Amino acid sequence: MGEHVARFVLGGFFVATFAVLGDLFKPKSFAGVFAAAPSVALATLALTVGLTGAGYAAHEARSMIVGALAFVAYASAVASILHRRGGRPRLVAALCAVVWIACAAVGWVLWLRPA
Amino acid sequence: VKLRFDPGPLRQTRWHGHLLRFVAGGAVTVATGLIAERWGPVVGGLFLAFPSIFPVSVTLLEKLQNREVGAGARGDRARRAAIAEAAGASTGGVGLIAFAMVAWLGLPHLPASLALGAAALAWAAAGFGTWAVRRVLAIR
Repeated sequence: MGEHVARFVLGGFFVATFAVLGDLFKPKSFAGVFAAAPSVALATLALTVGLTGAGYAAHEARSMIVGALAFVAYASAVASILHRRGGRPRLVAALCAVVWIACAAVGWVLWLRPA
Repeated sequence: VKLRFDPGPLRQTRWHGHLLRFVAGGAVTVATGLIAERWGPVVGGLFLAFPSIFPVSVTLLEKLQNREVGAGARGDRARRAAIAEAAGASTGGVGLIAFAMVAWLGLPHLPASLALGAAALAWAAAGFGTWAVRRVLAIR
């Protein structure tokens, strides 16, 4: 239970802090870089090292490379769809999670899946 | 538009917007930990870069932009802001790749604080560097 509380507080702190930093700059495209800050990763990896060791955390970081590639595809898809087809930003941002899942699945099959 | 420090939007964001991002961030971090517990670090690690906070940020951005336009807002300004935010996030995603690579290579050999500090610096360098390169290429 204590571990989950620590994850919640640390993750919330990093996410809120990077979001505030993003609010401080213009243009919006620069501020958008903060929308891809490694907030959840920093909180998770820091706690994982303490709880289960650096080797376990390194495994997570290796998988994160695939997740991050999928994130680039996701954010590009959101920008492209809003630009070309319009739509409500919140809806497009939510639906494009499918792009992330598809890219992450391909990356898992190609690189991460145990032999 | 020149890069500049502008605390205006921060003042316009209501306190529950910050609270929402804190709660969402905390919840996602707990969920990521639970996924790693259930399915192991290989699957759990994927979700360290899951776009869970981005839709929340876009929702808050959309509301703020529509509020600024006032009654009768058609959403055009919100859409333009969301496109810029998403384009920025895609360059930040390049930073996430750099973060993950440095953490992967550094964690087994360096003290955790040093490895994660170096990874955060790699995120900033790659993310903002990519943003700057894209900007120069777009101007030309």
